[in-house]
Amino acid sequence: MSADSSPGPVLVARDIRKAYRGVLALDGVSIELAAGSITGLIGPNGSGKSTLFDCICGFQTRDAGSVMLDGRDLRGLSPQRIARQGLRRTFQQLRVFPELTLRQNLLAAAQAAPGFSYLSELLRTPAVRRHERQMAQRADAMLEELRLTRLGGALAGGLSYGQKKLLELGMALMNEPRLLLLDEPMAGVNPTLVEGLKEELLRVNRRGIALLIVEHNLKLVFDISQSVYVLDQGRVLMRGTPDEVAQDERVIEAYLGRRGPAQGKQGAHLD
Amino acid sequence: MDVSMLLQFLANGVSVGLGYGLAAVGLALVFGILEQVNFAHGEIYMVGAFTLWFLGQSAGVPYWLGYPVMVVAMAAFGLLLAEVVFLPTLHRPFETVILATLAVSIILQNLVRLVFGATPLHIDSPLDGMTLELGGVLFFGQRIFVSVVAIVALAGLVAFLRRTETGRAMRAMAQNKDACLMVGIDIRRVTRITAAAGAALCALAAGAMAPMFDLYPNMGTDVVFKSFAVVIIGGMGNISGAMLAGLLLGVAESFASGMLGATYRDGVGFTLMIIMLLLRPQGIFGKSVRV
Amino acid sequence: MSAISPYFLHIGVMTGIFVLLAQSLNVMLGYSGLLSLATPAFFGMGAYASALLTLRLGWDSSLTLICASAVGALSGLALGVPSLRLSRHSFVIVTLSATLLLQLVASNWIGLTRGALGIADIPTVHLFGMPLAGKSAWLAFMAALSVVGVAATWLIVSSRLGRAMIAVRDNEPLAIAAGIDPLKIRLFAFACSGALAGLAGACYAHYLSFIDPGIFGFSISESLLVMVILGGAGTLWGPVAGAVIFTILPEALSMAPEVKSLLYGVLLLLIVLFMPQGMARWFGRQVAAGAGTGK
Repeated sequence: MSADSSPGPVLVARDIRKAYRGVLALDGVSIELAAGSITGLIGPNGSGKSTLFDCICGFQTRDAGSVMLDGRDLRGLSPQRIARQGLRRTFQQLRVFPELTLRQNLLAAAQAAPGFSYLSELLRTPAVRRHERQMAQRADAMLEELRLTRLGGALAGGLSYGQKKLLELGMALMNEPRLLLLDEPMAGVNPTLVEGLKEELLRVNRRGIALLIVEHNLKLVFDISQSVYVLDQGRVLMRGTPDEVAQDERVIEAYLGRRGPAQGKQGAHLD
Repeated sequence: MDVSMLLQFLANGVSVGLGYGLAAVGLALVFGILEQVNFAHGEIYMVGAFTLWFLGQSAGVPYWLGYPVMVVAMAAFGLLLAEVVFLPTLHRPFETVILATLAVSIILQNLVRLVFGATPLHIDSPLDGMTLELGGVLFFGQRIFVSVVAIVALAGLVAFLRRTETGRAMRAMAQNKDACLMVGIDIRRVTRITAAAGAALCALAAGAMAPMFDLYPNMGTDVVFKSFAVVIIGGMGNISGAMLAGLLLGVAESFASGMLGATYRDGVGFTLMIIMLLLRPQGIFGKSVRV
Repeated sequence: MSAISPYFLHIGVMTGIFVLLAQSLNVMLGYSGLLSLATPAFFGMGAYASALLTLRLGWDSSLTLICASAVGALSGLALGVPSLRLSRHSFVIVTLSATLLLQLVASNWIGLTRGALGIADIPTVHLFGMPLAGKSAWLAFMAALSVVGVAATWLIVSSRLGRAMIAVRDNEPLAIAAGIDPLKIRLFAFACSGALAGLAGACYAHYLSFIDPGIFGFSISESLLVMVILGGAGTLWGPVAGAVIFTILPEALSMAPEVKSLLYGVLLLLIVLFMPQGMARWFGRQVAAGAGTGK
């Protein structure tokens, strides 16, 4: 499921369009992510980054455009189906299951193997029990990797913010996804923990999991990404290596604010 | 089946329907503005009706005086409900309010049962027995009164929501509670007024319609169910939707009852509600305190 | 044993029935976070199903009880499919309306249910031909079924499915992002709730030997809400304690039904406003998911 990345891109999103009551949040966004890569997605507030995540993962229906995961068309699939296909995400607003223990949180994120029925789950057939044991082992390994083993039996609601962030990441990784979309993973994280989180992301990527990271912490994004997309007002402003992006005039302008007639098309489509 | 019979069904249906609409508007208002479902709504109607009975048959107060007094009393009760239930639970999950209002409805039903007993009671109205005949169709005085009250009340409500500052504050809260805080609208005050208004509207319906039926402590269940059906059909939180859906329900029931038999009358509300939920869950008009 | 008064035996039997009903509501309100007022609907469906199968087809209770449970589960699915997609407010309203609708249907479908006259002379439970005679036998039977009911609830909530229910309850978007289908898991919960209540209904029918459309009435929801919420929704034993206390207490105080309902209303209001976690909070909230293979 992990290391052998198929030759093709892991994600191809073409021409994504999404409007809310007349406001065009996404105006024909196309991105392509190579298998096993780390890609950054940056842009000023309101540029449509979270909307793009939502549209790719099925949390919002897109008005137009297609999304292919490893060549499979995700059209019409519910967000939970998409998650099961190997496309996982985290949220801008930190989410865990507060009334479950850490271990149970991780297990909740692990699925049943396909073909299991409700009845067999209830009756704890040998196959179900075997699967649960495997998942329990995986959860324990994950706790180990996140250095949260001693908290495995504690309710997730009692964790610190940083610990919850790690748990959230752990949950997204339970089923060795092909691609993980991270929505501002460093938001609100203590600077001393950012380095540790960054190391974890790199470790995850080395297992062959592609990452798409939305972040305002530009230093981090430029540090670990192989390529970066810049979104502005619902459109892809440019795509390039971190160096190219960091030095591009248009990007600097987009972040620092408008400066008169130099915008051209970008200003025009606001109405 | 001749035309005058059909017209009779229509006339009956319209007057009952306007009554349903008036009874449901309070529920729609509370849901639209406070986003809470008031399960005690039917009991407000019931307590209003019993209060009117008490004023009239026990205390000897004439109907024309007892009616407004009762409405004011029920508005005060609405304020009490706001203080005890809606305000303390502003930030709690919505099930809390449902359970709390359910509890209130249980309390009221049983209080009334203990105080008044289970024998059905009847309110005498000065309009009893008055009829008006127009083109072969019989209009009962009390029913005309219900229709008039409903129309006037709705017009008053619409004017209030559109033209007064409080009314605008209420509409604002229906749209965006958080934004209200930012522009200085006092949510607590709006909550109190909405609760009082909702109760008053329900009481208006109760006072006008009560003389037409027997009073019994369980009657709130029928009222709340019909009001739910109306609000779901019209669109939760939608004022004009509630009136129109009420009319629709009243007329549909009247025809069903007249043509198929009385047993089918209560099933109409269910059927319409289920159809609406399956085809268009947001109701005919969708949610909005649209005026 | 025979020295125990029939009155206490009767309370014991009713307690057993309410333990099943409490767990039925607990699965929805406690573990799934959905306020279902449909328990009387499943209760009544199970009661009528078992009564009719016994009287009309002469089936043994070992079969009719299972069928009653199945009817309850199917009713849960049938009601759940349209209602679980709705907003949470509409869900509550629809579950309440379902009980009213069933009461209406039961009152008017005279050919099937004998309408308001109800069905009388329902024989006691016959397990493989052997009748449950006398209140002592019934007490033993209901005690056993209560254990089965609690065990079944434990099986459900400690499984992967129970975990998924709690996940959907506590953070639906996260559950979706984890690949869980909220609608399916809620339907499953509703079916389980229906199965438990349907079984309770069948027992009720055979024990009292008489049922009528009033069985779909709201009063059992009144009691159940107090039992489950005060006991502790979302815990395994809280609702059991609630069922025991609130079946025995009103009898012990021999209240008139209106007084009992009035007190329940007041109690419910107070609990909801001031102590929504119920008594289980006092005893230290256990890991809400119960045991779990991953613990």
